[in-house]
This record gives sequence, structure tokens and C-alpha cells, in this order.
Amino acid sequence: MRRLHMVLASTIALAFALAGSSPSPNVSGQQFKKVIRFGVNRGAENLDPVTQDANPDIWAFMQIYQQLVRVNIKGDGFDPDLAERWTTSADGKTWTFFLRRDARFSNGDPVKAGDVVWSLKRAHDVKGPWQWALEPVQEIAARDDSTVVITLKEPWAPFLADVSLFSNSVMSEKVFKDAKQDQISNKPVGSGPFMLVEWKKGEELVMKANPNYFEKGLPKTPELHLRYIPDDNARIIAVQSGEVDGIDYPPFSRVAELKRDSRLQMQLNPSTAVSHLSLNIREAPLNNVKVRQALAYATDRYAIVRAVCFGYCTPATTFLPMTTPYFNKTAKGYTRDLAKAQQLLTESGLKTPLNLKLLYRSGDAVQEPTAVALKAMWAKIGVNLELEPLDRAAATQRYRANQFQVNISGWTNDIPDPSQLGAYELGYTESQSYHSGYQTKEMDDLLARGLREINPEKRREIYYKIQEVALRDSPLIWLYYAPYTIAINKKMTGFVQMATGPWIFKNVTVGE
Amino acid sequence: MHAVIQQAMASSAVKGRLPSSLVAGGTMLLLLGGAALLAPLVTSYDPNAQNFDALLQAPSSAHPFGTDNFGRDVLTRVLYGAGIDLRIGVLAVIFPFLFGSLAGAVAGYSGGWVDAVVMRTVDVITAVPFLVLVIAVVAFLGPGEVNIFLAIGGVGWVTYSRLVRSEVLREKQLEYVAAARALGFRRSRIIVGHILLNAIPSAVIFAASDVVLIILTTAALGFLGLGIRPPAPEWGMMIAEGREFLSGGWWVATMPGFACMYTGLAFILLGDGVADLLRVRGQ
Amino acid sequence: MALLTYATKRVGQTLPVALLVTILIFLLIKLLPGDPASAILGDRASDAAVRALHQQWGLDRPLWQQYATYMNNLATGNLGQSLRYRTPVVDLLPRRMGVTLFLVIYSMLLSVVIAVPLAVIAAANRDRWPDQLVRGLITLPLASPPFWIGILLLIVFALRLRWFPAAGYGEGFVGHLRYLFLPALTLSNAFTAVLTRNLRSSLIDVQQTTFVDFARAKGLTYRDVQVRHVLRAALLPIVTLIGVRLSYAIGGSVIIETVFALPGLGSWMVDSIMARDYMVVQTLTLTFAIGAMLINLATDLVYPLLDPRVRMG
Repeated sequence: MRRLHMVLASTIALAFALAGSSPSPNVSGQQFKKVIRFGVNRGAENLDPVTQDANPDIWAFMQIYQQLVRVNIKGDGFDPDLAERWTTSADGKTWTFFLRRDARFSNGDPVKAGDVVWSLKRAHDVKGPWQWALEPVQEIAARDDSTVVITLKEPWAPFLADVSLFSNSVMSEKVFKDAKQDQISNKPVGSGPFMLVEWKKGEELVMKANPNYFEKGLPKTPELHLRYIPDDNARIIAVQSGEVDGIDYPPFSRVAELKRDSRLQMQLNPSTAVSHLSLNIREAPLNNVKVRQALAYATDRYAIVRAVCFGYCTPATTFLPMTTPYFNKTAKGYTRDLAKAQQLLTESGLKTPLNLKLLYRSGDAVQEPTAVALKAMWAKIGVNLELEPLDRAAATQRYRANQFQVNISGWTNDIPDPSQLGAYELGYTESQSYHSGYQTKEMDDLLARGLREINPEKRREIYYKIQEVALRDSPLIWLYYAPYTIAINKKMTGFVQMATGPWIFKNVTVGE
Repeated sequence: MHAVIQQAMASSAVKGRLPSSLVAGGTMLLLLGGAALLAPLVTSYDPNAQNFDALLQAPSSAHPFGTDNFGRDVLTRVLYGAGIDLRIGVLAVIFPFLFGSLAGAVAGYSGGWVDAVVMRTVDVITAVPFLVLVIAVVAFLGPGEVNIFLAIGGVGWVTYSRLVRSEVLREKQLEYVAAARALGFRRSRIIVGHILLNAIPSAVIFAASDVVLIILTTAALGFLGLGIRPPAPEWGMMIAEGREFLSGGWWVATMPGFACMYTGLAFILLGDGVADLLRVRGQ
Repeated sequence: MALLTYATKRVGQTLPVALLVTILIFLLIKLLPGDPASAILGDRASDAAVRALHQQWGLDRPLWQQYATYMNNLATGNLGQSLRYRTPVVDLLPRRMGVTLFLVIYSMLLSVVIAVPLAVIAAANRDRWPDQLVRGLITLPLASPPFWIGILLLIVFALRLRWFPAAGYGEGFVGHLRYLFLPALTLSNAFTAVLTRNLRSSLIDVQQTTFVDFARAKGLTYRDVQVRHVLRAALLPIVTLIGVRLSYAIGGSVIIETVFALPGLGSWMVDSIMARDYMVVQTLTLTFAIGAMLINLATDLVYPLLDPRVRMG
């Protein structure tokens, strides 16, 4: 009989243990959680602002590091961050930044001008993907502990935007001056609202509040966990069941369903993203501009938006994302016109069926449906599009070696200025114009002028012209602008995502 | 190992009649094969025809299996996919079966260094988990049906060689082999003529369940993004693609999954039946 | 003593095989198109930056030299650095291994727990409807794609019923039991099927042998016969099967870990192949290879202990 009691008791105990428990309530009596749990689809790998190049890295270390100025949430202007105010000299070549005096790193050290100088010099000198941002800089110096003076080679229109780039985060000189790369990548020390506490690579990034953060009372929730859940279904289930309080990138196919879910708030945040096709114009048949224009006319962007984004994206017109300053809202771009496409193809002198190969990343939830849709669309004008899915590393290699005809790709502006994308996509030097091989004197001249023209009205004209020429020459085919999808628990308030992508967690609270 | 498999296939066999599992399995496969061949006659849809006005529609009389995220009829794609998966399953098992059995037979009969070389090679390949090695090879070769054959064939033959080798080792000791040699039969005649014929049944039985494994491996490759090139309606790829729509369009992934299950079941029954048949005959 | 010499002989045979495995994998992964530097630096990296990383990682040296460096490091116990995470592999290995081992052992236990009663029922009712039902039920998951079953379980038990969490590994032993239940259940399907069928046949075979009749003649109850004699004799195939299935299970865990987002060896292996994280792939492969060989060795050693009729060697 005694044995039976014991068995019964332990069974009940086990059952209770297995039934799970909800997070313990906040000790102070308020009804907010102490930990924000956020599910992400890609894990961070390198938290060094200068050498990394992936959104998960950037969006993670943006909780830890600060810059001189920060892009505002709408993505069209700048807010003070570590610099309270700044001035420009009359000739536009000297910028002076006045730092706030109460900013501190998470280890207690005050943020000094010396730290700014060291960090920016490093960003300028190290061969990373963001070196271009400080290219026009001639000299960086600290006038005193709270003043940084930056001298440029010539007046530079997007300079403030460049300085706000996350690669120009301010790091502690004392901590990192003699540090090895591994330490910089794995153990960030910043002045932002959060600091890194634990990092289980490929699993979870644990951050706690920076006790020395200068904004009193922030962050509102003292702990932030970024949990890596690559599978879309699992991630959605995790936020629906309360495992995590929010997730990024729920696929577009689930947006309608998540909108109906009473537990969740489904956000479609404006982004600086644009999806496009790179056309390798070095060889036939894509070296013929009429062929490229024909393909652009044959592409039904509305259909792609339905197939890939389930209607939640906007068909693209020009090469700029629609949130970019100087985006031409009246430009029509290429709308689907099969007759015109056919006509252009005939004018090009090439015979159908035209054989083309489309390179893309296999299994990619966005690229694959795009590829399948394009194949059917272009077949209507006699183009036989062969699909070439390759795994990510192999596809990247082929793309970088220009061994492709058509490649699916995409871009996100990291600064609120058209110059970054213009240079990268149409200016050949950085990426051979997205590996299309496009290079014309006309475009190079326009881009150079756009970088140096300080007058906003005149600058607008230049960029309108750039958009027009890009459409005419069509080295790429621009498909759509996709918003960021975020699904958070209704009890989460204060969550904001910048148009350039990074999340802002410092004002977030999650109700019990 | 072979003892284990033979035990696994144990079921009641009635002498003189075909085993029921063989009949069941065979019928299921005939139905499937017939449907696959006659697909163009059975459905009027094109498996690749995209219809943006009919995205993700639930099963109805117009679309018994519903439509997918491109408006394609799922039933049509499943039927056309049957052809692909059956083809892959059967063809991808032939090379491992033939080559592996031969290698195993030669290794088992010859012994000595030939045996050592073959078996050490087998050990090396077996040391790495099957799926991982196939993934690596497919990543190396690129996507496509032919490369999947090569990957699965290049890795999958080892099990057959182990199987056949142990059978051959067992048979070698039996009396009739000694008798044959005493009578002066050539070695190769002995291998092929007697030993293989007695050793092969285990391999055949295993091949039947191996087809299932191959179909599932192909599906797994599709799931990981290394499968057949789209827009081919291969079942594994369809499940992978339909993974996104499990809430709003469960039929897209479920139907091919059921088709997989049906086919797998058919082959397992077939394998059971063949095992029974051979055991009954052998007695 | 014979056991020891046999074991030593087998271990001695294992080493050259392990060596060959490292060469095979080294070549295979190095020959894959694409490289880790551009994979890690991203599409927008400059060629100069990619080259700089190649130099830093020694990827620009000839293949044989890279292999020599690798083997040299191995001999001194240096398992290399994960290029992606910029951390020594040996730091990342224990946690990942723990996850996969937990999952695999958990799934095998579940298999045994499910298979034994099923096999007993089936064997006791041979060829009648319970037997047919059991055999039909266990075959169905065997024929289905495991990731499909996993997702269905996720939807029903994690989402609709909220009985189990959806992803991840959890904290603490009990936490692991909860989080890994669905993945372990999915992984256990194949083994349950094979085990049930095997156990059932063994039970049937043993039931028919004379020593059972003799025991019953001696007056033992039916229950005693079942439990003591029959099951013990049927243990043999389980032991053999576990040995074989363990290495299959590790491969099977690849898909399951991906579906349930478990940070184990399987998902790490696939991710590393995709990211061309060479050191990780090589170390993991070596781990798998040695592990598989040790398991085979262990099985071969245990088998004769259980059944004295079987000769060793």
C-alpha cells in the first residue's frame, strides 16, 4: 500500500513538473515581465561593427553600441545620439561634434572623444564592407574630451548619413585598442541601453541592461534574450504559445492569419528594402538593352507581389526603395505590357525562344517562388528561363565571379540617403554594379555630382535624373519593396523598428 | 544483420498461394503506377499552370486536393509527382543493389586483401551518417535528378555489400560449395551460380525497404533546399514548399505527405511479400 | 583476456579507417563550390576583404599543406576554429553533443517503452486483429517523411493543445524532457517500428521453444514465463539493433533538429556544410566516425556476453 502511495505521489509530482510553469511575476509588484524574449530567424555571428555584414549581427549590436548620431525612426533624418549637437564649417569641409558628458560604457568608463576618434579611425582603416562610409574623411581629431572634429577632403552631401552608419559605432578605446579580432567580435563593450551577458552561439544571445546608460529609467525591461529559431513554423508557434514575446520575419504567407490572431499584433514596418534581378549585361543576349527592357515589361510585378508577398509588398518602380529621400514618387517604372515586351524583343533582332538561366539560392522562401513565377511570366514572350538553384555558398561564389545570367537579389539601405545604393548599384567600382557590369560615363558623372551637391533642391534633380537613366538602361529589373514583418504579443508595448531595420528595445515592456 | 532483417519480415505464409502482403503491396503499386502514367488523362490541369485568382483554395469538387500558393492544382501535381518519385526510388536503388551486391559477394568469397579493401572502404563510408554524406555530395554536384542518383548511389551501395557479404560467408561454409569445388567448378561459376542465387534474397528484401528510404531521402533533400529543380512536382519538394502554409493551406504539404506514406507502405508490403515468397519457396 | 585482445585488435583496425575518413571529408568539403569567407562576409564584401580573410585563415595555401596543418593540429589536440563563430570548435562541441545525445537516447527509450507493450500484445494475439492493427499502425510512420510527422505533431500538440513547447532545448533536466518530447517522439518512429516487429518475432519464436513448455510444466505461471524467460532471451536483437540504429539516429536527428530548432550536432553539421565552416565539418565527421565505430565495437562485445552460444571474432 505504501508503495502505491509513493508511486502516486511521484507521478503527480512529475505531472506537475511536466505541465510547465509560467514566468514568475515581477517582484516589485508591477505586472511587467523582467525578460523580453525575441525569436529571430538568423543568429548573430560577429558583433564587431566594422567587420560584420549581416542584419542579425547589426540588429543585435545596435542594442549595445551607439553612434554619434542616429537615424530617426522614419528613416529620413537624424537624431542626436552620443553627440548632443554638431556644426558644419562654412565651406562644408569641417564637422564638429559636441559629445554629451554623461554617456558611459557598460564597464563604467565615460565615453570620451578619444574613443570616438579611435573607433572611427579603425572603421576608416580596416578593410571591411563599410569602409566606403568614411572615404571622404581626411582627418579625425579630438579637440578635447568632449569635442570631435572631422575634416573632409571636400564637401560631402551624405556625410551625416555616413557617420550615422552602424559601422561607425563608438567602442571603448581602452578595452579594444590592443585586443584581438576574436575578442572584438565576441565581447562587445558599448554605451547603449544593453550589454552582452551571455552568448550561446547559434542558440541565444542574452543581454542585460547597461547600468551606466545615460537615459535614466531605460531600458524599461532589464533583460533581453534574442533566441535563434530558424524554422518559420516553429518561430510562429513560439510566439503564439507565449514561448517568446515577439518574432521577426514571419513569412508573408502567414500575415493574414497572424492578423486575425487575437493574442498578437502583426506589424508591417516600412523598410528601406528593394528586391531585384541582376542582369549580367556583359554577354548576349542581355547585352542588348531592348532585351532587358522587354524582360522588364514582361515581368508582372503585381503577380510576384501576390505570389511572394501575398499582396503585402509594393511593386517597385525605380531603383530606390520608396522610403529613400529623393525617391521619385511619380516615376512609373515598368508596368506589365506584353505587347510592348514582344515588340521590343522583335526590335532587338534576336530570335525566340530565348534561353536564359536564373541563378538563385535553393530553398529560399522568397527567391524560389520569385523564380517559379518569373519562369511562367517570361515564357509568355518566348523566353525559356532555366532555373538554377544552388546552395547559398555556391550561389554566392558564382555571383561574385559573374558566372550567371540572371540573379535574384535584394538590397536594404543602411543610411537614409540615395548615395549608398547609387554608388553600389550603378557606379561599378564597389560591386561592378551589382555584378551586372553596368558602367557609363553619363551615370558616373551624375553619381559624382550627387555626392557633392549640398543644395537639396539641386540634389533632388540629380537623383531624379539618375532614377530616369537607370530605368532607361535597365541593368537590373526592380521587383518590389517589402516591409519588415514582425509579430509581437499584444502585451508588448513600445517596440519600434527603424526603417533601416534595427529594432529598438529600450522602451519595450511586456505585460504579464 | 541479415538474421535481424529476416526476422523482421516474419509473417504467416501459406504454401501454394501468393502471400497476402505481396498481393496488397503489388496492387497498391500498380494503382499508383497506373495513375502516374495516365495522369494526363485523369486530370485536365497542367501541373505547372499558375492561376493567381485561385491561390490556396481548399479542397473542392473543382480541385479535390485544393490549390497551392501559385494556384496550381495539387492533385495534378501529386499524380505527376508520383512518376518522378517512383522513378527516382526504383532507379536510385538499382545501382547500389547491383554494385553493392557484387562488391559484397566478391569480398565475401575472395577473402584476404580484396575483402579487407572492400570492407574498409565500406567502413569509411558508413562512418559518416548517411544523410550528411548525401548532403555533402549533392552540395558538391549541384541540384538535379541525376546528381541525386549519383549521391544516393555512391553512398547507398555499402549496406548491400555488407548484407551480401555476410550471406556469402555463411553459404561458403555449406556443403554444396565444397562439393562443387571438389567437382571442379570454376570459382566464378560457384559465386554466380550458387552462392549469389542463395544470397540475393536478403538483398532484394532490403531493396524494397530501401526504396522507401530513398524516397524519404529525396524528400529530405528537398526539405533542405537541395532537391530536384523546381517547378518539378516532386513530393518532398512539395512538402517543403507547403511547409509555409500549414495553417492557411494544410493540404499543400499534407497531400504529398500522404502520397509518400501510401507509396512507402506499398513498398514495405511488397518487400514483406517477396520475403515470404522466397522463404516459402526455399523450404 | 580474449575479450581484451579482440577489443584491442578492433581498435587497431579503426584507426586507419578514421584516417581515411578525415581525408575523404577534407577533400569533399574543400571541393565544394563556394568558400566561407564570402559566405561569412556577405554579398557586399569587397574582393580585397575576401582575400584578406583567406590569408588570415590559411585558405590560400595548397590543399596538401592545409591537410597537413589540420592533422598536425589534431595530433596536438587542437580541433580548430569555427570560422563562422570565431570560436574554437572544442568550446562549442560539448553543449551541442549534449543536446543530440539527450535527443537520441530519449528517443530510444521512448521506442522501447512503446515497442515492448505493442510487441507483447501482437505476439500474444498472433495473426488475430490486435496483431494486424499493431503491425499496420507502426508501419505507417515508417513510410512517412519524418519532418512531415514532426510538423504535424508540432501543430497538434504544441499549437492547438499547448501541451508541449514549440522549439528549443529548455533549461534543466525536466525542461529538457518537456522540450525534447515531440522531437524524440518523431525520431523514435522508425526505431519503434523495427523494434516492435523484431521483438514480436523473437517473442513468437521463443514462445515456441521447448524450454518454455518445460518451464510451464514445472508449474510456473504464464506471467512468470513471459517476463523472466521470454523477454530476457528477446533482449538480444534489441541490443544488436540499438547498435545499428544509433548511428542512423544521429543522421536522422539532422532533420528533426532542423524542424524543432534544436542546437544539436546534426543541425550544426548541416549548417556548417552550407556555410563551408571547414573545421567544424571535419571535427564533427571525425566525432561521428569514431562514435559509430565505438558503438559497433561495444555492440559486438556485449552480444556474446548476453548469448554464450555466439562465438566472438
